[in-house]
Amino acid sequence: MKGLLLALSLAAPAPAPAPEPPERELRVMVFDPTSLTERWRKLQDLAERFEREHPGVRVRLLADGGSASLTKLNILLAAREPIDVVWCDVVEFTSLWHDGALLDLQPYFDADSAWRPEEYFPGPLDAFRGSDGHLFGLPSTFTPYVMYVNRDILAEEGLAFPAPEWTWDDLRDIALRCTGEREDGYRWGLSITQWLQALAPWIWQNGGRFLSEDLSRCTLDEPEAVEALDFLLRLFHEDRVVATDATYEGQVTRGEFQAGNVALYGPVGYWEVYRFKQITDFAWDVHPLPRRQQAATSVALRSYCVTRYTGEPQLAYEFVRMLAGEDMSRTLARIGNGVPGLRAVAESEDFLRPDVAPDSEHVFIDVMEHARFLPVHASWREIESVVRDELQGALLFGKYDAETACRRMTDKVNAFLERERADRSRPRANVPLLGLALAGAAGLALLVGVRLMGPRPGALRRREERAAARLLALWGTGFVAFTLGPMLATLGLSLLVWTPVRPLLEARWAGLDNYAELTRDDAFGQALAVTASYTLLSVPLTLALALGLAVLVRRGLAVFRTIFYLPVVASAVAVGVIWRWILGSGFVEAALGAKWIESEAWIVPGFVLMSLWSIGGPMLVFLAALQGIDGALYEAARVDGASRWRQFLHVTVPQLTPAILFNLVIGLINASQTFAQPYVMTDGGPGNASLFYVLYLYRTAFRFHRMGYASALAWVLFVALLALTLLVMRSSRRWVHYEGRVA
Amino acid sequence: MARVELEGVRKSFGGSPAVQALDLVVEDGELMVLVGPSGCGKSTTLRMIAGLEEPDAGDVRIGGRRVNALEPRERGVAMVFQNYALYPHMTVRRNLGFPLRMARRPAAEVAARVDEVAAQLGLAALLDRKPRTLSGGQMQRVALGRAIVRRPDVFLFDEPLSNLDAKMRVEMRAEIARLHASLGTTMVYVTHDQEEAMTLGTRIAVFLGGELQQLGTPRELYERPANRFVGGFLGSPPMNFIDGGSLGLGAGEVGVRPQDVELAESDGVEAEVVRREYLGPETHLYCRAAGQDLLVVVRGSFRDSRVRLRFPAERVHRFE
Repeated sequence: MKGLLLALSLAAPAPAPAPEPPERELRVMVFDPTSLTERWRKLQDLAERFEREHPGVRVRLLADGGSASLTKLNILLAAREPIDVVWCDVVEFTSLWHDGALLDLQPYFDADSAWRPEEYFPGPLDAFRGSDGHLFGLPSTFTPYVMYVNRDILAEEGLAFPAPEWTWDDLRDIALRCTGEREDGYRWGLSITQWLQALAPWIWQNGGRFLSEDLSRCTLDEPEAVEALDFLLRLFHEDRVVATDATYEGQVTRGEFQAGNVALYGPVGYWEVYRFKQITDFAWDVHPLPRRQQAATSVALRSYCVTRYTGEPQLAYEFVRMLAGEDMSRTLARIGNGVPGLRAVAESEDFLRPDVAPDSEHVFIDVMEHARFLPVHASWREIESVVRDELQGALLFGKYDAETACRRMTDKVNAFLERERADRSRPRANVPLLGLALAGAAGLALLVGVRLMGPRPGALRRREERAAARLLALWGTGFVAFTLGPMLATLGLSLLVWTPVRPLLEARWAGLDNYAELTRDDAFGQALAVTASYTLLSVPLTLALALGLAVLVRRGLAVFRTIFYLPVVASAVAVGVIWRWILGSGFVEAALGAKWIESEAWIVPGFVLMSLWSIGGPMLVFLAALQGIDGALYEAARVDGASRWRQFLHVTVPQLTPAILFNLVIGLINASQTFAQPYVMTDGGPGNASLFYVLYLYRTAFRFHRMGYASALAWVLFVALLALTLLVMRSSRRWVHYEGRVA
Repeated sequence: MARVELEGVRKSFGGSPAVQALDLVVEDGELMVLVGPSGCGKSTTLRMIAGLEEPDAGDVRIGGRRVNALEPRERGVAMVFQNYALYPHMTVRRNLGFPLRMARRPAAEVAARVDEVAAQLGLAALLDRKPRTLSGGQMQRVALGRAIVRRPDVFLFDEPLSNLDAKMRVEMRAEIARLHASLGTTMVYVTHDQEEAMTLGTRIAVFLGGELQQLGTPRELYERPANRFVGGFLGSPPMNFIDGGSLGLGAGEVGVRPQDVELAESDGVEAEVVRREYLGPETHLYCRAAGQDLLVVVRGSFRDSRVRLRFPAERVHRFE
């Protein structure tokens, strides 16, 4: 499925084959969730121009959007696919930089007589410097976080538009004044965004900080940060002036601000301009964030950078310069992609556009004076994920007070930083030796197994076995190559610390530390709890309902069988999208008291409910088994005085036990491996409430690139499932009845 | 103890009649055998008595009570099935106790009754085994036990012996006869095997095409078959049907049982022995007389290739 998507996205923009293959090729990967056609056309323009200026060079543009694009890039890089230039956002940039996947461009800048760093905004430019001050990329567009204001609401409430230097108290006053039931429905003073970059400004404004100067420890437990979070928590849970729609995931839906129900929305970036352009029924504008001890905001950026594995560093550098140059910047500014990194373009009418809302576009440039940047030298992607769950837990659900939330975030981030430090100091692993040892152990196990199978068979049996071996060879090859081999490799990886974008030979030796870490990992515990509770609820419920349905359908029209089976055929992703909508709908809220998709308590039951969608699979198995039951048994039971219910109990159920066992084992395994639905629907949220085990495993491996730890997770799941299955099979001797006579 | 009455009972399946206007009374304590070829309506009749099928018309009464609308369990009947229909997941003990447990009898009573029945049928050693470990004969004994354990008013047997081998069949036949003698309960027994019918039945009801052909004691049916079908169906080897005119027995077709043909010294009809089958106590002679084939059974052995046959007038059957 993933591979197919990848193949499609790779295939789509490929131009017709040139008559003569170009000698050199430059592959440019664009992370572009919106795929604006104008932007794409401009890219193609530039590529053609670059090809004209560099005869014999061909530029291939690879577009990929969506949340998994970094994952795909990493897989491509891990496979040593030549990707030369990447256009990505700053969090992705830090992740790539951190994994050592980016090329140091400083020597190329130094050799470039046309390079004028002062043409760029200094902050956004410096955001792409490594710890040694070397530049690893150039900014394309950026956006500081600002506040969006519904002018009409302020006017209706008789409030003046806030001053540029407004404060937290002003914000709270406005929010209090604007919240409440109005003629056209309930109105909120605020909608506050809840991810890390959006939280940062509050902390900075209060004089706090995220990490210590040397980036060695998290400082969210310092009083300034605690106070900032406390202010937000009070807005949410004491003043109750905040709408709860502004989650990271919520951005794809029509929000309360867009609906005209919220006075102030933020902190959030320029990208909302793009979404809010469609607003016609009220006047809105952008405004600097309020201040406390000082003014501060954070900045989201996109960058052009070059991968470490490029074969054409000079060409790639030149193409990056062209991309970050004036032509492209003007186009991006006109489209509304963000504030251009080039100062001249940002100050031009291409960006400021007096004719288009908002009126105060200049705010985006003005607030840059107070802008701060997340240091590139930390793995923000993982820190963000760690913090996001706690933030949502505190802000949305009020699970902890500010101090507890800050302490939890600090502990988690510190544990993460410490682990990173520890990983760096681990010794290099002898990977070839490890591979050899594993292969040897597997071979030995095979030999012992064959020996244990019994005495040497007679000549006739040996001939038969040789024939069997020949027939099995094809399957065996596939099994070894695609199942056993990867399993052994995973076992080996679970003893290492390794990021797939680095060569495997650079992996470090962890021994059993990955397994030891499981015992300290909250997320692992949470993933186990979520998966176990889902499995315990879903499997028995599915079995019972599938059985009931099979009994009913057996007497009914054949078309019902088809109807009930149909959802099983549907793609899990499509079903997930539909259910996301159902569980998040007002209907569910009205009927069940909460939007299940947003409720920590109800999200797992929501998934359980959704699992009944594919009840057709087990139902079909039961149906087949039902049809195999001797009708005379029912007649005997009727004559013997059994009621309908007792016939079901004493004839149907015992006769179905083999089918029940089959469905139970398959159900347990499938439920424990649930992935696609939470991946599509919640990405583990809200908080960590739907962090299914395999989703956590996937995240660990492909978002945080911790292959060693992910492999340990995989093996723990494998052993747990194996043990569970053996347990069920062993118990089945007591309750499963098999047909057929024993001679 | 009960009398079973069927009055004007009809049943058809999807338009094709299975039982047509049947009147039949099974007297209290009687073993009534319903016999006929497959599809004759005998099993349907039995299943209507059991309550597994509902008649389209007419009444079924057991012990004077109209039972048309009653569930099987409310009719006081027990049934033995052709394939035994033992509950495969239960031990013999639990199979035997099942009807009592369904009637919610106390555990002690169930245990006592099960032991009693097991002793009666020689199943005591098998009580803790599962059906699949039993032989066919043993399974049928368990099925019998399950039927009698509850002391029903009426026993119903649906071809209970047809899955057994010949030797076991004879043994079980005797067992059933013994049971009937000792319990004295009304029994209705369906079979397609005329020998089983003859040996077991107090009375026999012969069915064909959903209609009762004749009802009577085995002897009545054997000696005075009401029609050509009954004549041909009962008795082994089957009755000869021959043209009476050519053999001097009067015009039209007549029926003569092979055992009823006598050998004559000088009179009678001359016949050629085409083939002989020596069975020990008797020999079957396949004869040809006046252009007609007929079978003659004689005692002992017989070697001649020509023979003279005599047909005692009182044993020559004429059918309309």
